[in-house]
Amino acid sequence: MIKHDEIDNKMVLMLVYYGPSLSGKTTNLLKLHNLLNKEGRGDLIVLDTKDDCTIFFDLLPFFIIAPSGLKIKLKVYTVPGQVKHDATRKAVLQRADRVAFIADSQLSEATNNAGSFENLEKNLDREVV
Amino acid sequence: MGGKDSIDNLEFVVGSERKLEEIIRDDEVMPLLQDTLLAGASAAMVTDPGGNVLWASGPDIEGGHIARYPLSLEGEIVGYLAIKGDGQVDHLSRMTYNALNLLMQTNLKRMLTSEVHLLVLNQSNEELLEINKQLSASEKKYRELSEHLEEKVKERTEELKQLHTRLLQQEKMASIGQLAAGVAHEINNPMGFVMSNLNTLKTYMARSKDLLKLCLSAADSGKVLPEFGNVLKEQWKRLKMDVVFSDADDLINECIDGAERVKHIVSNLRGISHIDESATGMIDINEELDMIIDLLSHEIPQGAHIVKKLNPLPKFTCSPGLISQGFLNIILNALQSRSEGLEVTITTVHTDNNEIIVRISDNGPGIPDANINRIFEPFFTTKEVGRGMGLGLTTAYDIIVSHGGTIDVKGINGATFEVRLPIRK
Repeated sequence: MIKHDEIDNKMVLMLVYYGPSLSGKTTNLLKLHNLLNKEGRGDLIVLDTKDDCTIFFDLLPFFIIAPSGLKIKLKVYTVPGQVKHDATRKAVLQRADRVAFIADSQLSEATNNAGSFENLEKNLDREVV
Repeated sequence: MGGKDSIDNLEFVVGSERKLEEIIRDDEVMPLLQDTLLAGASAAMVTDPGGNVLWASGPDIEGGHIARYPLSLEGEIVGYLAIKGDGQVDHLSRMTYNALNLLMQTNLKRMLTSEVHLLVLNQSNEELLEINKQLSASEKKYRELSEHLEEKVKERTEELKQLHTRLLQQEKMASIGQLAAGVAHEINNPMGFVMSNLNTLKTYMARSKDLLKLCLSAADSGKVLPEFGNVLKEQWKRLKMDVVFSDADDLINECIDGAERVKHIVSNLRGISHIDESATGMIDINEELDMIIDLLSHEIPQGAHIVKKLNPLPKFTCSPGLISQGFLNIILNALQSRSEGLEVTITTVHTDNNEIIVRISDNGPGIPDANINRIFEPFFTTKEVGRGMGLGLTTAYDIIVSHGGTIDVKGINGATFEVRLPIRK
């Protein structure tokens, strides 16, 4: 559920990047980090990685101020794409408000994309509160 | 402080919003502030965004140079670091700020990692426990199975043996029944003309007697030539015609009686394997048993004790006449098992398998093992010659089997006949 803090007039939205291993979830987050100006964002938090693969997750918080003055905090998470980290994926997915599926654009990766999407459907069915 | 407690109790989910005091602890921040004082600052403090002091070191002196840095977490200001002193304090405070910032970022990372790690551990643990439970259950099942295997095999073997014996018995009964029916049919035809001819012969005999008596009375009255009359009277006496005539009637009557008995036996034999498809009806077997006992009252020896344990039974669809004939034969057999001190117990039960059980037991001499497989054979009897034909139990057996039922016999401690009748849907 999206959190709304009436006292601070703030809304916190959690977005999760989901997709197969090495499809560019963390890269996308890094690019987003570079594009946003320093005032509008927090620091990119990159938890442990191994051989370029996320083990826990990455997190980039940034802000948008709505014309009404409502402060929207968007927290973008990535999940580990490797099949063996399914338990971690489920843990991160637990409180996601929205999910962005990051597919690998290479044609040869179509099977992996489909497998990851199936895994997403399975985990959502089971875990979404 | 808060952060550590929260990790232990798992009160927050991944990525929940946190305050400054939840990220860093007293024993982490206080040495930093104290060292800043030692390095030359007059006071150092950390406040929340509203300016309330969270941690402070040194005297709270008004005025003087103040260096102030915003502390941010996930891009939001969660508090301020303020350091007082002379102009030189700026470099020092920059160092303290960097150290504090690094502490916050590191702590945040550690907390996020721990959260995910704990969640994953808990989930895996639950899954493992569940798998373990299933494995234990199936292990238990297999262990039980292997422990009782021998017993089960023995049980099944015994069942099969019994079934086999019963099958053999049934087959034997069927072939004996067929044989008996065949013989009965063959005897029935000649018996027909024997009976008919005997009756005709009886009338012929009467006519001959009348004619001869007429001749004799004519001779007596002298209405015929004396030579012929005397010869006739002489011959009558010599041939003992009075005795012949009176004996002939008896002879023929005895023949007719005998032939009738043969006919009766034959018709009983035919009844055994040729159960007529008489009309079916719904009966209460308990009522039927009561009626049979009334009917047999003259057969009950003096001082005999009949115990009825009749439990409620559903209506049973059958040929009522046949079924009562069957039970009558079995009960009669029990009544004849002993002349003094007889006790016959009749029990009825409706089982969970939707079967009716009728158990008839007596305290007679029982049945020796050698006879137990023969008691249903036709003409098998242990009664004195002339007292039993040996067809009663055969008929009963055939009637019960024709209703889809079974009869089990035990010959120890008196005889017990257990009749099982399945209730057809």
